[in-house]
Amino acid sequence: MDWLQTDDAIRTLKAVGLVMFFTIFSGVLLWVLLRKRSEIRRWSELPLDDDPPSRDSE
Amino acid sequence: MHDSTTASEATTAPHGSGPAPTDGPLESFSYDDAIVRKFVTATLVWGVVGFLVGIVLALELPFPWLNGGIEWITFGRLRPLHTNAVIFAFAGNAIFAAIYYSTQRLCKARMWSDTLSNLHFWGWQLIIVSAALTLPFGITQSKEYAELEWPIDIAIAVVWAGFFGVNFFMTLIVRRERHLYVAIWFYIATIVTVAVLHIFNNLWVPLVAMGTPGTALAWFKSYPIYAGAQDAMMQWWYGHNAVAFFLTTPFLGLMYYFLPKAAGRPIFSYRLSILHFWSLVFIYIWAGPHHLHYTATAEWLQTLGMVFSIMLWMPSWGGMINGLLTLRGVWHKVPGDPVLKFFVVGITFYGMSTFEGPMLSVKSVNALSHYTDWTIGHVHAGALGWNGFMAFGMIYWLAPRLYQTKLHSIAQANLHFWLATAGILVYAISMYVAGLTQGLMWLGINDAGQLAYPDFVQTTQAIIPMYWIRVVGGLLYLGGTLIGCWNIYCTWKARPAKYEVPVYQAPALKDVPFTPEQPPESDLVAVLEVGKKIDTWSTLWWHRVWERLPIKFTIMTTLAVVIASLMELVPAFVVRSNIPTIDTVKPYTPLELAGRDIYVSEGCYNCHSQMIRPLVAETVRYGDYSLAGESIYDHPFQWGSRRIGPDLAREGGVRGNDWHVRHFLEPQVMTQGSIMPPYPWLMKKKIDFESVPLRIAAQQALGVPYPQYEGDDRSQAAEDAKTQAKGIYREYMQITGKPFRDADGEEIDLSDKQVVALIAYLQRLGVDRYAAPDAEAPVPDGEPAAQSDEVVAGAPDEQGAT
Ligand code: HEC
Repeated sequence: MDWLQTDDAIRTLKAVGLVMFFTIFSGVLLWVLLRKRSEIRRWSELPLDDDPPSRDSE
Repeated sequence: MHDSTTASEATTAPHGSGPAPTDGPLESFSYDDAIVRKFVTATLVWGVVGFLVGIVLALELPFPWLNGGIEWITFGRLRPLHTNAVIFAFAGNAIFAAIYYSTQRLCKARMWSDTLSNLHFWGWQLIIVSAALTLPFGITQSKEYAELEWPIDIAIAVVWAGFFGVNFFMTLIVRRERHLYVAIWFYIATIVTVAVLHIFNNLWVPLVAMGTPGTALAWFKSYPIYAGAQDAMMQWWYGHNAVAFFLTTPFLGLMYYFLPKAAGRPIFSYRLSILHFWSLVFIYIWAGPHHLHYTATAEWLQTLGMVFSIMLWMPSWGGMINGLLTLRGVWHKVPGDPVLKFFVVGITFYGMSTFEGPMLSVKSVNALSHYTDWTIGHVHAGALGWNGFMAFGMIYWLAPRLYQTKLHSIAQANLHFWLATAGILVYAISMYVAGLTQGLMWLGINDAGQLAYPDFVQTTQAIIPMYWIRVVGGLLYLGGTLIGCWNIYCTWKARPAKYEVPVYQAPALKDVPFTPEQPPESDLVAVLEVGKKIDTWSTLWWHRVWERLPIKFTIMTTLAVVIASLMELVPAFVVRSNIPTIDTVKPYTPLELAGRDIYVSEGCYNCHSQMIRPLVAETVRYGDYSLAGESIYDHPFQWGSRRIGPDLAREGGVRGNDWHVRHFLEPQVMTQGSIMPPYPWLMKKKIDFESVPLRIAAQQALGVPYPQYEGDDRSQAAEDAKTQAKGIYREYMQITGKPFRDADGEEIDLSDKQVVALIAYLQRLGVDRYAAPDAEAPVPDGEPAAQSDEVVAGAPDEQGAT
C-alpha cells in the first residue's frame, strides 16, 4: 500500500471523504423531504397499527 | 419454519390506510412471545447481578481490603465483569426483547425460526455465564468491553451473526408489510455493525496455535495482532462504536417503536427519525479517536474524532426532541403512567449524555476530564439513565401484554421510578464532583512551578467522600431494580393458566399487487436528453425501490460503516510516519513478557494508565510524555483509560525491587492512604515457565523480533526467564539482607513466584527510550537486532506524526 503513504494520498482521501459524505447526506435529506405526506403518515403509524384487526382465535 | 398456514378465504377487509388491496389469500400467523418473555427475565436477572457487582466495586475502592484477600473478586478482575454484565447481559437482553417483540409486529411475521430464536437466547446466556467464569480467573484480553478471550469471541460471533442475524434477516425477507419502519433500520445497523466491530477488534494469535500449553489458563491466552498505538486505535474504534451500536442504535429503535405505543400517537416527525438514523450511522463511526486525546496517536486522528463527536450532538438532540415532542398533547398522562415516566427520563438522559459526550470530546475539556471519574459519571448517565430507564419503561409496558394480566402494582412501579431517578442523580453528581476535583488537583501547579499535590494519594483521599455518596446512589438504583423485579414476578405469578396466542391474518407480500417503481417522465422541455435523465434521477424514485429491499438497505448501511472505518483507520495504519520507531526500544525479555501477561490478567490497567500526555503537570509528575514508538511491541496495548492509581509508563527504575514486593503485600503500609488492594497471592503462585516459549513464539508470529529464540532455540526462553527471576530475587535478598517471609513468618523462595515476573516487567517500563544506543540488550544472552527497516535513529523527541 505504498501509494497510500504519501501526504498527497491523504489529502485526496480527505477530499474524497468530505465530498462523498456530504453528497450522501444531502441525498438522504432530499429524499426525506421529497416523500409524500400521506406516505410518511402511513409509515409513522406502523407501530400503532401492528395488531391487524382481522384476528380470530383458535 | 414459521407456522403460517394459508386461509382459503379473506375474512376481513385489510386494515389500516395501507394502499395495498388484498388480492391474494390471507395467511394466518401468530407471534412468538415466549422468546420475548425469556429475554425479559434474563434482562432483570442480569441487571441485578451487574448492579450488585457494581456496588461491590464501589465499596472496594474506599475499602481496599474488602476482597478479603480473595483474588477472584479483586477490583482489577471484577471490574470487567461489571461492565460486561451491564452492557452485554442487562442491556443486551433488553434490546433482544425489544427486537423480538417489535420486529415480529412491524413485519407482520413470526420470527423466521423458533429454533434459532432459542439458540440465540441460550447461546447468549451461555456466553454471559462463561464471562462470569473466566474474568474472575484473570482470563482476559484486557481490551475494554472486549475482554473475553478467544474461544468466547468465536461463540459470540456464531450466536450474534449465525443465530440472531440469520433469524432476523430471514424474518425481514418473509415479512408481510412492505415498508420497513425506522426502528427496523436501527436494528439492521446494530446487527451489522456490531458484527464488524467484534470481528475486527478480536483478531488474535492464541497460544495453542504455537503448541500445547501446559495449564488451563494458557489455553485461553491470546495476543491481539495489533500492537501499541494501532491496537489502541482499533480498540477505541470498537469501544466507542460499541456505545454507538450496542447502547444507542438499538435503544433508539426501541424508543421509536415503544414510545409511540405507550403514548398512543405516532412519532412526532418520521422525517426527522430518518435523518436521525442516517446521521448517526454516518457520523458515529468516526468519533472513536476522542478516547485517545493527547495520547501517542496522530494528531489529525484526534482532531477528526473531536470534530465528528461535536457533529453528533445535532442528530442526537434531534432524536431526543423527536421523542419528547411525541408526547405533545399527552403530557397530562405522564405523571400517572410509570411507562411514560421512565421513557421521559430515559430520553432526557439520552439528551444529556449526548451533550456531555461531545463536550468531553473537546480536547481542552478532555485534558481535564480524561482518566478521571468524570468519564465514569458520563457512562453511568448513559447506561443507567438512558439504557436502564428505556429498558424498564419497555418492560413495564410489555408486562401486562406478555403475561396477559394487569401489572401487579402501579405504586411499586412508581416507587421504582423515583428510587432509580434519585439513584442515578446521586451517582452522576458525585462522580462529576470527584472527577473535577481529582482532575484539577492533578493539573494543579503552584507559583514555583511545582505540583500543588505532588503525592498521588492526596488526590485519591480528596474524593473518598464522593465514593461513599456513589455507593448510596448505586444502592438506590439497585433497590429500585429489586422492587421492579418483584413487581414483574408478581405480575407473572398472576398469569393465566395458558397464554392466549392470537392468530393474525395478512396477505403475503408477493400476493399484494405492487407496481414496481417506474422512473417518472421528466417534464423539462428544451433540454438535452442527459438533462432529462438527471431531472428524473433527482426525483430519487429509485430510492423507493431500494428501501423495500432489506438486503440492499443492509448493504448500504454496511457500506456506510465500513467505508468510514476504512477511511479513518487505513491511513493511520499504513502511513509509516505515524509510528516512528525508536531504535533503543527492544522487545521484552521472556520473564518480562510473562510478567506483562500477569499485569494484564490481574487487570492492573483498570487502575493504572501507561500513557503520559504532553501536559506540563503530567510530565512534571511522571516524566517525559509517551511516544508511540515506545509501545510498538505491546500486544495488547496497556494505555488504560482511568487513573485510580498513578501512571506507570515510566515506573521502571523508580522503586527498588524490595519496595515493590512489600507494596504488593501491603500497599497501605508503603503508601499511607493508598487504595490499591494487596496482592498476597503474587508471592504464592508460581510463574508458568512452561508456557513461556509459547508466548515468545506467539509474539514472533506477530512480528516481534526474537532472533535468539528462533526454531529449536525456543525452549531457551524458559531458561532465560528462570535465570532472570533468580537474579531479581537475589537482588531482593541483597537489599533486605534476608529471604522473604510471608505474614505468618514462613520463608518463601520468590524466585519462581509471579511477583518476580511482574516486577521484572514494571522495572522495564519506559526505560528503553533512554538506553544508550549500543547498550547490551536487556536480554540475558544475545542481542536482538531490531528488524524494522524503518528505524528512526534514537529520536526521543519525535512525537507521533504531530
Ligand atoms: C483499585 C485500583 C488499583 C489496582 C487494581 C492496582 N493498583 Fe496499583 N496503585 C493504586 C493506587 C491508588 C496507587 C497509589 C498509592 C500507592 O502507592 O499504593 C497505586 C500504586 C501503584 C504503584 C506505585 C507507583 C509509584 O511508584 O508510586 C505500582 C508499581 C502499582 N500500583 C502497580 C500495580 C500493579 C502491578 C497492579 C496489578 C497487579 C496494580 N497496581 C493494581 C491503585 C491500584
